[in-house]
Amino acid sequence: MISFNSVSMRYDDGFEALKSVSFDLAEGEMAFLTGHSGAGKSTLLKLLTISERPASGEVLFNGLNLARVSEKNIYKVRRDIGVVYQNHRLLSAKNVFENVALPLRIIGTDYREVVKRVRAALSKVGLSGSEKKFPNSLSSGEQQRVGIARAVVSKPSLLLADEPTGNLDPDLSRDILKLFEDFNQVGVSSLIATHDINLLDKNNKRRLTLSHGVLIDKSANIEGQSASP
Amino acid sequence: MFSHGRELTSALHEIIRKPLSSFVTISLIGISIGLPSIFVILGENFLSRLDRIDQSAKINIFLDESVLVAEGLALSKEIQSQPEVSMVRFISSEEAIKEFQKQTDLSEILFTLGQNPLPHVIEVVPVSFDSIDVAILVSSLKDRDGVESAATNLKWLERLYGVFSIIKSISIVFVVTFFIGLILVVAHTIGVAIQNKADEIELMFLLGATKSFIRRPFIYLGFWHGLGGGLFANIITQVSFFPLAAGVESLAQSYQSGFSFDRGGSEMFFLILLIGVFLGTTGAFLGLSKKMGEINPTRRGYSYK
Ligand SMILES: Nc1ncnc2c1ncn2[C@@H]1O[C@H](COP(=O)(O)OP(=O)(O)OP(=O)(O)O)[C@@H](O)[C@H]1O
Ligand SMILES: [Mg+2]
Repeated sequence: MISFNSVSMRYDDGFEALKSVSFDLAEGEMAFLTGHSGAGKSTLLKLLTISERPASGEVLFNGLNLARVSEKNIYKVRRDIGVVYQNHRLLSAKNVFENVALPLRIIGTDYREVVKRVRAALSKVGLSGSEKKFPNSLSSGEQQRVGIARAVVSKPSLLLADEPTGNLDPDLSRDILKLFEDFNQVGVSSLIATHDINLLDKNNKRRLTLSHGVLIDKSANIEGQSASP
Repeated sequence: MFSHGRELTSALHEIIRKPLSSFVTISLIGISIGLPSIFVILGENFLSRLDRIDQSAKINIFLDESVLVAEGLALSKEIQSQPEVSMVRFISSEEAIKEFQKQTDLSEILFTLGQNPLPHVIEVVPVSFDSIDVAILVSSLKDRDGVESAATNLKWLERLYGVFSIIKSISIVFVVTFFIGLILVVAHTIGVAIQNKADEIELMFLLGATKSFIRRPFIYLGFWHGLGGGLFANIITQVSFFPLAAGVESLAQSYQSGFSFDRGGSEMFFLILLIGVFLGTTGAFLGLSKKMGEINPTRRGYSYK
């Protein structure tokens, strides 16, 4: 599904955010990306959405070298990746239904199908009946769940999350984690960047640990291991 | 499917939701198209009237006072036989004064004069209205015995046409400048709309939207602004003709009956709408090409914070 081969990434100001990172994420696998603040977690995810390009090395997604994807074709890659953001990035002027429907609108899904899929996604995250509400009238936990519904509504093959529980209390974090596990159960590959101990401690999934742009741990299975790198 | 129709109406909702900013742009378009339209329609009315005068252009031959009615009639017949002449009418001085009395209230003044001051007149309608042909005919008529003078109204007509063509070309320069200004105004309005939606656009790119998908609603927005402006222009134009048309018609009727003011009709209505739509969409394309360059789908990552 994902394959990083000696990937380095340098920002415009010359700062090297990733240094020769290599790892693989198998189809249907779920992994956590962790590390201190500024370690390069978000940067790594940005390479997958082609929001940034690597300075060297190759980033393969479903066999496609993302470094070579032309500007014109970026949208095709992005349609196959669902992303959950820390600040959930909901549009405050649009209601819950419209927010979740956005990815389907973009790919031109038939309206009846949109209604069906949006309802299904909202029911999966436990927000049936909130379709007409506006994001600002929801709690931050609910907002995040709308963000998750939007990320999965178009059935992407890969789910990325950047600090999905950053603003939530431990109980809510656990709910969110449960959601990701549910999606993983039905075969969605996912990579979740977080330094939320609550999230990491409550599962035995694979953990990729970054430190100052270097991948220092990519254990395939860390069952029983503590959260600190 | 979220069809184009749906997007078109949602762009309209956008305007209705924030009517104030759109109103400024729409009324600017309306006024800038409306004002020249008023002048164009007025000009057309005036020109069509001039055409009618032109068709009835005549050469008036004023005869010497000494010429008798019988001699005048004979001269008329002679002139009628010339190939350059299509029609001739002899008006004796008595007939002339009767006509004059009918048209004016100056009859008393004429009676106090004690004698008829008007000469016999022969009205000549030429075959050709070409100014050179008419000039040749006039000078040949002048040379005839018993003719005091011959004159035509074509000189002032020509001058009037000249003035009109100057006004026309000045207006074209103004209108073109106006319209370029309008396109820039719409481009600015769309630019502001794009800026206000920078977050949404950024998100749409991240969700895999193509550039053309993101462009579309803004083009529809420009379309609606243009259409609204065109409608506004039509309203301004027609409303301003209410008092104007009545004035012009009563003025025209004092000269000649059967003149009715032409408000431009449906052709003008649709032309104005079309100009509005053209300006609106062109402005939108311009605004997009200026602003969308700043929104680069690659560099627009999800924000770091
Ligand atoms: N646009 C940018 N230009 C320059 N440097 C940047 C930019 N974005 C991030 N960086 C730097 O790159 C490094 C890695 O940033 P990144 O956002 O990947 O860290 P992170 O692991 O996600 O941290 P956090 O846990 O705080 O979100 C940081 O030192 C950061 O300052
Ligand atoms: Mg980060």
